[in-house]
Amino acid sequence: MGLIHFANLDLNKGTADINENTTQYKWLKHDLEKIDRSITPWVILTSHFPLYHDGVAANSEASAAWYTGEESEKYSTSGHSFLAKRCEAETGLCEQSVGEYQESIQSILDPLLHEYKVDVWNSGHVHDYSSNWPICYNKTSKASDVCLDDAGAPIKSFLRPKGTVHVTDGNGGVPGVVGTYGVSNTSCTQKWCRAHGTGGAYGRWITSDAKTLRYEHVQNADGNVSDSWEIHRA
Amino acid sequence: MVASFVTFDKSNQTVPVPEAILNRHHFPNPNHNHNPHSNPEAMFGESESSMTSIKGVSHPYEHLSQEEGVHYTLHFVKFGALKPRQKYFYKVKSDTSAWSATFSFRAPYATGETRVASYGDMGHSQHNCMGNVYQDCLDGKIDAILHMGDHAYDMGQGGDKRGDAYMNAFSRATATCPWIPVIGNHEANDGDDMYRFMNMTFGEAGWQEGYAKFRGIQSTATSALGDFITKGTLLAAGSHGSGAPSKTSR
Repeated sequence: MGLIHFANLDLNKGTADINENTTQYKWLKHDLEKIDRSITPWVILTSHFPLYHDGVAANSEASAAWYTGEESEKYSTSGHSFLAKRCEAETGLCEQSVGEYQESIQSILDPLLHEYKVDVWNSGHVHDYSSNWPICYNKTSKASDVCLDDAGAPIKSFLRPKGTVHVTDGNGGVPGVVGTYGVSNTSCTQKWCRAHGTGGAYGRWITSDAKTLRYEHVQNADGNVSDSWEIHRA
Repeated sequence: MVASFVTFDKSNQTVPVPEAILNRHHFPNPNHNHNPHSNPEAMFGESESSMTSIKGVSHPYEHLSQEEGVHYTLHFVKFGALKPRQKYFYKVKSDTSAWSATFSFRAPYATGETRVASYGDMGHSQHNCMGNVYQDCLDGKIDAILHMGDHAYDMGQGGDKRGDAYMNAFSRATATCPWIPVIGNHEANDGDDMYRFMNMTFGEAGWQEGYAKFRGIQSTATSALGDFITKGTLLAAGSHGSGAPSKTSR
């Protein structure tokens, strides 16, 4: 659409698992390869599920099946409810944890985000707003974390980002999301976490050129913009 | 661009087919005498006074909940050769229905100022974003709506009644701005059937192999609206003049 190329993935666990052998992965790679960035400068990948969300990262030992399933959302007015991963007493074998699940999709998708310089990963699922600083993938160590400057300090800006900006807008209005609003970073647990927001809202992506991509977080109750920021390339 | 709409009627002539339900597949019910609606048509033009007729295609959908006796027919009319950002007017009907209200939309574009709304997890609640998104479409603050999964929180509930209510409420927005649905966990595995909404967006991504009944790919959705959306995105892909699925995500 216009200056933004959107590619939308189905990452439903069990029905749409992604790895290098899946047709969806091959389609995505082919799709990203074909983008002429001189014509379509911005690339946003979306999925229902976040790759990097502070609340999910803070619950890495929880049950992945509970997190990706539907029961987990019914009682959560903001964010997400988590259940400890379940283990067999006799064998000590445990079900997949949220951290293991996140790692399984990050390890497949992070190299693509890096290789094709994807600007934004946008998602829902967790019923809040989560905005992160750019996250960089290290090809050598195969690890991802907040991008670092030359002095090794976290880069907390959107000026000429070296990595992908991950944003969750899972607060479109699901039953339970309330009309009270707040955006803050006080509950952040991860280095890349920029802010959390509560209350029903949606995102607006706006751009007129290859230099600036603007994001606005629009509150459902009054249409006011409770958070906004811009990725600047120039 | 594809205008898509659903007509339906009710019949008491249908008889459940238990084996087919157990197999959880689409099935033709040999015992019903329903005649699907057909001959979809749109009046379409740059002004309300200059609209001309365009014919479309129809596809019947056999509802999983046969006891509800609801027969859906999914209609698709393609609007081609659009001028970028041009405002167009349209109304739609099938052979058995009256004309819809007249709607308008602005055509998508490939260059220039770009404005897209995105969110996930909307549902029916009073705090959802339907109203503001619609107003933003009208005001020209956004030109497309991207919904990142979890739409009505079980569209298939109550023999699709919940999905019908949701889509009817949301249709003033989706009739005004192009809508791009993404599949969430509540589409993938909600309701009484593990694969109830499997693939609202297979048409978009086109990655599922082995389905080739409808314009190259068959929906695996097991609700009328899931099926409807799948086929709508498929036809939207075709309307770009290329079978390459990636073009649909622009």
